[in-house]
Amino acid sequence: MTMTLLLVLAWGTLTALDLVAFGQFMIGRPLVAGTVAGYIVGDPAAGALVGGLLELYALETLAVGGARYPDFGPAAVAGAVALAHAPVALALGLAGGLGLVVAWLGEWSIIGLRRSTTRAVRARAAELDAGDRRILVRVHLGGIARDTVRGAVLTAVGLLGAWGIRAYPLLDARPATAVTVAVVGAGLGTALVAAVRLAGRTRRLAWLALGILTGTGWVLL
Amino acid sequence: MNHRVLWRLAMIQGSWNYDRMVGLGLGFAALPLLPPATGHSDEALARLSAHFNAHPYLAGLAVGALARMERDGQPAVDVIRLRDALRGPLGSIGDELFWAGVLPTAAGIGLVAATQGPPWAGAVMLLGVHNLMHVPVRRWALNRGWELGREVARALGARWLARARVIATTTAPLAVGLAMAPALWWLVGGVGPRLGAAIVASAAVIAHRLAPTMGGVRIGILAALAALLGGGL
Repeated sequence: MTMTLLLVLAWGTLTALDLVAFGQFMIGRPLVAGTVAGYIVGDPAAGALVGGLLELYALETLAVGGARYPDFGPAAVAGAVALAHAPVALALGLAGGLGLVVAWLGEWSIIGLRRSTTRAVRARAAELDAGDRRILVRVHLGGIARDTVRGAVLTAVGLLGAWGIRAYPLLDARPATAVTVAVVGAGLGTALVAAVRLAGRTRRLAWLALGILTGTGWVLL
Repeated sequence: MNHRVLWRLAMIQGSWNYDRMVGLGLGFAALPLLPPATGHSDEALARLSAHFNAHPYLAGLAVGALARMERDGQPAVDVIRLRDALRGPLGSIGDELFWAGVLPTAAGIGLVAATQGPPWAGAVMLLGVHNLMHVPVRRWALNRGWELGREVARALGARWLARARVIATTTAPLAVGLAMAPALWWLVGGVGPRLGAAIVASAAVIAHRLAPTMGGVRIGILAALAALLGGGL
């Protein structure tokens, strides 16, 4: 139990680091983060499902320049833990909702991290302007260390939320199903808006339409 | 090319800040390529770690080219001019190729795979498609920047890069569109067709009315809260 918790916490922290500070290999994408978390807690299908749900929301995120964006890695990890071994129809919406809250908190935590790193850079501006190698390495690695702490705290908050959902299943079938409808519906709507934005007012809209029609035909047939 | 530099490139955004953006990361990544410093002061490093921004996957072009210029002892004013000139193109080309092309394509393919295969299929496809493009491009950028030095702009005009942007930004809406219906089927399989219809209806309203202004995450949270309150009454 403790080992599983530590592994999930470590995985959530790694996914948060992957968002900006280290790698960007996309292990922090919700589909990846949720699936691996699902394997860790023994329910990979649940992890993939909640990861897939959050992936619909993540399609909207373009991590350009200094833009603000939600942190979906720890979000998917928390969602996967909340959904593991629970009835999907009842818990998918709650797990996804928890993931969205964690992703939103992650967005604010990134702003806090950037401000903190900016303060650290200003405090060492004279040495950095002189090209002091030792100070540059220290300030740079300090930023990564701060992001590691941010990721660990965010994952821990998400796991607390997941524990809350599992320990106190306050909802009966009706509101839980309503939440699932709302969260999946909002996810699909977000993905659709993201896809239209990707296509722009160009010929690519036709490719989007072709994709939607082909996917729909595939499901119906 | 030096593997240490490639690993450092993977950390280029580690100290992202509002003053210099990825400037410190550029200096950090280029350190092993710079000529040895005398004492604590290093003018070349100071120039490279000033304000800079670029797409992280293409930043290797700047790291390689600027470090090469410093290594060759080219005038400081030329190094600064090139650094400033690279900022815009490296950002816009990288954003279009990866954030608006390769990544959504990988996510769409990953979602389709997740709906059709075993639980690991989606994650493996997403990681595979994205990194099959991302890792070689990072390596190419660093090598090409180092080879070309002050002529690095030639690399940005590479035909394969222009072609890759067209292909990636075309496949992105196709892949995302393809994933929509299977994802819906996969997610609502447990709640039945009537609720599936309700989900499609709420998705249409959200897509049309709210998402363009509020952002998906906020809408999702508000929708969940509204459903929680409404469903509980």
